[in-house]
Amino acid sequence: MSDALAPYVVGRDGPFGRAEAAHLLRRAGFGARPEEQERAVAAGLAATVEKLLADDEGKEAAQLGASGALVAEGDALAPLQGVWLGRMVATRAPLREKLALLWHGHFATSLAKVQRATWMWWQYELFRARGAGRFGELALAVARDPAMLVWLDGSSNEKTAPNENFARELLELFTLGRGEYGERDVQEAARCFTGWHVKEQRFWFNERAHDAKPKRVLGRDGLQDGGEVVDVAVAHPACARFVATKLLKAFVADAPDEAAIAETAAAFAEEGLDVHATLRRLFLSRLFFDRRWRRARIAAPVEWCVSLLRRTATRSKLAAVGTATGEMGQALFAPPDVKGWDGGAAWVSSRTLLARGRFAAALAYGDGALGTAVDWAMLAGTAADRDGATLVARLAELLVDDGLEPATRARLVAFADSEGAGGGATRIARVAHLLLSAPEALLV
Amino acid sequence: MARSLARSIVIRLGGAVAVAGGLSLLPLAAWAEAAWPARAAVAAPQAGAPRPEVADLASLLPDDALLVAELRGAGALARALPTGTLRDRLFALPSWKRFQKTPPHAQLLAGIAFVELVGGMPVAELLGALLGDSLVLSVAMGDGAPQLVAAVRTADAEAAAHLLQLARSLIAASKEEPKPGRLDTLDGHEVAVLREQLWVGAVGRDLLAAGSAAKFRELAARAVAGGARAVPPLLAGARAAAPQGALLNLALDSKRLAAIAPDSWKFPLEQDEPFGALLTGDLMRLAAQAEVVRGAVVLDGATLRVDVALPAPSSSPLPEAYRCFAHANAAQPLPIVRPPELLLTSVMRRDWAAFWADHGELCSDAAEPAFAKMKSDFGLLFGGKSLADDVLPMLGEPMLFVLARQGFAGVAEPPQVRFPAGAFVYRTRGDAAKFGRDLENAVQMGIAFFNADSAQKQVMPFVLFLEEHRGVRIVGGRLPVDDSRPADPYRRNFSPCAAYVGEWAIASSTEELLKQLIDELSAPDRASFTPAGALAYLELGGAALARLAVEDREALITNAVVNDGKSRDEAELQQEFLADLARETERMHLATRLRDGAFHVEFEWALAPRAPATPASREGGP
Repeated sequence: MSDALAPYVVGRDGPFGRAEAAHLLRRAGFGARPEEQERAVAAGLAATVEKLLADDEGKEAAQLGASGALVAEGDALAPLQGVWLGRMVATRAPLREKLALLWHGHFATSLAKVQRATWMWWQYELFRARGAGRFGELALAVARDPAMLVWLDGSSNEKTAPNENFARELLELFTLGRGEYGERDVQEAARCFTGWHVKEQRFWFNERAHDAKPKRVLGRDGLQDGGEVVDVAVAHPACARFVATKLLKAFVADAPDEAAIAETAAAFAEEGLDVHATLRRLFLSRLFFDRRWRRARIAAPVEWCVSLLRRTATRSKLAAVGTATGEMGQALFAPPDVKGWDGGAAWVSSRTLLARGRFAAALAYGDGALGTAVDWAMLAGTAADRDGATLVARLAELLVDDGLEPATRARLVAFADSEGAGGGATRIARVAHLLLSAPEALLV
Repeated sequence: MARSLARSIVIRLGGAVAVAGGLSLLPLAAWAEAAWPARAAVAAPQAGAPRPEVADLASLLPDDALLVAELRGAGALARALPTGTLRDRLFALPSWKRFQKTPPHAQLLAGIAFVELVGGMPVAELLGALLGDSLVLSVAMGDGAPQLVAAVRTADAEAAAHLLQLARSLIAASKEEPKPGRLDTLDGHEVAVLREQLWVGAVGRDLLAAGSAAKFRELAARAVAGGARAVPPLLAGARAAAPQGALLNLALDSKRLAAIAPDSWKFPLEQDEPFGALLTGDLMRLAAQAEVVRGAVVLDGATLRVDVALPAPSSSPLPEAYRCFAHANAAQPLPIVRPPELLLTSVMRRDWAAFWADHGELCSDAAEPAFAKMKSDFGLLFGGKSLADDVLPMLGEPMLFVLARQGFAGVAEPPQVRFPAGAFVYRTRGDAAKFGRDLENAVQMGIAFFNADSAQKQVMPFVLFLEEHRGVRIVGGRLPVDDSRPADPYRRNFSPCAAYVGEWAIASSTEELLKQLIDELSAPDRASFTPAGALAYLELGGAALARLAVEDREALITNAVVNDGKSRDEAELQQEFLADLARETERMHLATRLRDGAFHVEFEWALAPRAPATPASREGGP
C-alpha cells in the first residue's frame, strides 16, 4: 500500500474530538446533533467510520424506500422528491443516500425528458445498490439503465445511424473528462453501443440494430460491445483521477488541490475503483482531517435542507421541501442538463439565496406550506431563558456545529440581548433565523 | 362532594406524575372508573324553594341580537357521555385502541386529570354543568363591535356558584402578569371579569355572561326581575321553524348584518371557477339575498341531522340567469342510482346548456380561459362539433355522478393503487339516436388520445370494443390480456366506456360500473328517488369506503407522510381512523331542498346499528 491517503492517527496527528466528529458526520452524512457527535467521539474514529459505511438505514427509512415505487406510479415529480428526501431525513445510513445523490448528479438524468417517474426511481435504486461498490460495475449498470438510455437517446442508436450522445458523455462526463479521448473514440464507441435499446421498460439488446463489426476505442482494437467500451474507459488511468476528483468535491472540498487529487486518485486505483474501500481510507486519512478542508464546501441545497430537518427533528411536508430545494437550484430527479449540478459557488446566487432565506424563515417560525414546526424551546433547553451568549452558543452548536465567525457571533449575541428579539420561543426563533441566514450556515 | 374531593386528590397525584413523567394514567383511570359515583352531588337537584327566575331562559336575550343560538339538553348529553353507547363504540374502534398507546393519549389523560383537579368534579359532570339544561347566546353589534350575551340554566344555585368559583380560582391561580381576570361587583352581583372582555356572574341557578359591564347589568336586571318575558323574535322564528327535539337552534339576521358589516356577509356571485359556479351558484345567490338564516341540529339516537334554511322570499326569486339550477322543477322526483359497492352517489338539477348560455352572469372573467379550454377539448372529443350548440343542448337535467369501489373480478393483475370507478349519467333530450352516435365517437376519440400517450410510454394501449349488455350497446376500451407490454400501473383502474339506456346517457371509467348502471336504469322497479323537493343530493356509502381505505392503505399512508408531513405512525393512525369512521357510518347525505318556502341545506349522518354495550366491552379510557 502506498502513502496515498495516509491514515490519521488519533493522538499523533490530532484529536478525534467533537470538532473532528462533527466534520466527519457533516461530510459523510448530513450532519449530526451534539449528542450524536458525543457518541461518535466515545466510539472512536474507526468505529464511527465503519458505522457510516454500514447499510442499516432503519425501519422508517426502509418503509419510505419501499413506498417509492408506489409513489413513482403517479408520475409526479414532487411526491417522488418527497420520498427520497424523507429517506435522507430518516436514514441511519446517510452515506448511502449521499452517494446516491452524488451519482445522481454525476450520471445526471432528468424526468423532464425521461417522463417516467418509475424509471427515475429505478435509477435511484440502482445508485443506492451499486453506488458504494466498484465504479466499473456502476458505470456498466448505468449504461443499461432505461432512464439513461432515453435521456441520452440510446434507443435511437442504430448501426444505420449511430447516435453519439451517450458515447460522448460516457467518455467526457462519466469516466475520463475532456482531453482524454478523441472524436474518433466517440464515433467508434457510439457504434459499440448501437442496439442498446429499451423494450417493455427494460434494457434490450437489439441485435438487428447493432453494429457487430470490430471497433477501436481509446487505443484498444477489436471491441464489439458497449460493455467493453465501459471496461476500457474505466481502466484508463484518467478515470481514477476523474472520479476521485468527484469524490473529493463531494466529501472534502469544493476546490481540492492537485496534491489531494493525486493522493486520492492513487488510492482509488489501488482499491480497484471500489468506492467504499476508497471512502474508508479517505475518512480515516490525514488529508480528510486537514484543517484546510474544514468548512471548505458550500452545502448543496438538498444537503443543507436535510441537515437542518435532521438537526431540528421537525416533521415537514416532504414534497414541498422537494419543491423548495428546486428553487434553491437542486431539483431531485430533474438536474438542469447532462452535466448535472456544478456545485460549489454555483449554488450561490441572489435567487437561490432568497430561496434559502425563505426556507430558513419557514424553519424558524413554522410554515403551513412546508409543514415545519420546530420546538425551539425544547431544542434550546436550559439556554432558552438565558443571556444572549448562552442562547447563541446553544443554537450554534445545534445548527452549525459551532462554526460561527467571532464577528457573526457577537452580532447574534447583541441581537439576542436586545429588546427587538422579544422573549420566549419567539426570541429563540428569531435568533435561529438570523443564524441560519449567516454565510457560515451555508458551509459544511 | 367528599368522594369527588378524594378522587381529585388521587388524580392530582396521578396528574402530576403523568405531566412530569409522561406516564400513562391507564391504571389510575381504571381505578377511578371503578370508584366513580354515578353522578356528582353538585349536579343533583336540591330541595327547597328556588329563587324566582324567568320562565324561558331565552327571554333574557336582548331583542336587537344579530345572532341567537339556543342549546337544549346538552348538559344531560354531556353527563351521559361516560356511560353512553357512543363512548363504547369509540373505545371499541381499532384505531382508538392504537391511539391509546401513543403519547398524545397520555397527554389527553393528563389534561383531563388537570381539568378535573381544577374543576373539582369529573370532566363529564363539569361539561354538563357548563352546558346546563339550556344555554342561550346572542351576539349584537354595539359601538361598532360585536357584543356577546349568554346565559346557562344550570341544575341549581350551587352548581352556578361552583362554576363561578371555578372562574375565580383560575384567575387567582394564573401566573400571568397582569392577571387575566379580576373580581368586581355590579349592582350587588359578584362577577368575574375575564380580560376586560367577558363579565360572568350568577343569578340563582342561571350563570350569566356578557361582553361589557353595561350588558351584564341589563342581563342581570332581567334575570332578577324574573317572570315571563317575550323571547327575541329572531329566536322565536328559529324555534317555530326548527324540527322537534332540536338540540341546537340558531338564527342570524343576515339582512341587518349585511347592512352593518357588509364584508362579513359577502358571497361571490360571480365565481372564478366554472364548476364552483355550477355547484353552488344558487346557494351563493340565495345566501346573499337572505334576510334570515336559520339552523338546527338534531341528535336522534345514532343519527345527527343539521339543517340550514335560507328563506327564499317570493318577492325576490332568483334571476333568469339562474334557470340552469332548475328550481322550477323541484317538485318533480329526482332519481338517484345506487350501484353495489357504492362510495358516493349524487344528483343535481343542472341544465348544462342554460349554464353555458348564462355563465357570463354566474362567473367572473377569470373563468373564461376554462370555458375556452372546455370548448376546445370537448369539441375535439366530439369530432369538431360545437359544445355549446350541438352537445350541451342534448343534455337535460338532472346530472348524476356516482363513484363505486371496483371489484376487479376476473382481473389477473389488479393495480396496486385502486381507484374508484366513476360515471356520469345524464338525461338526454332531442334526437337520442344521433346523440348516441356522437357519444360513441367521443369515446373512441378519447381512447385514441390515451393510446397515443401509451405509445410514447411504450405501455399497453386500450383496445376498442363494441358489445351488448342486456340489449344495450356499449362502446369502450379495455387493456388486452395477452400483450407483453407492461401496463401503466394506474391505467389498470380504467376501461372507459359509454352506453345509452332509454333517455339516459352513461359515461363510465369502467365496464364493471357501466354494466351495473345499465342494470339499474333498465329495471324500473329498481328506481330510487331522493326526498321530495330535492335540488341536489349527495350520499356516501360507508361500508365500501372502509373497504377501499383498507385496500389503498399503503398509498394513503405514503401520501400522508410525503405530502402532509406526518410521521409513519401518525399516518397509519389517521388512515385507520378514517377506515373505522367509514365502517361505522350507515349513511351520510348532503342535500339542498326547497320546502316550506325555504331553501334548505341538509346534512345527515347515521351510524351503523350496533349491539348494545356490555360492561365487559368497556375498556381503558377516562
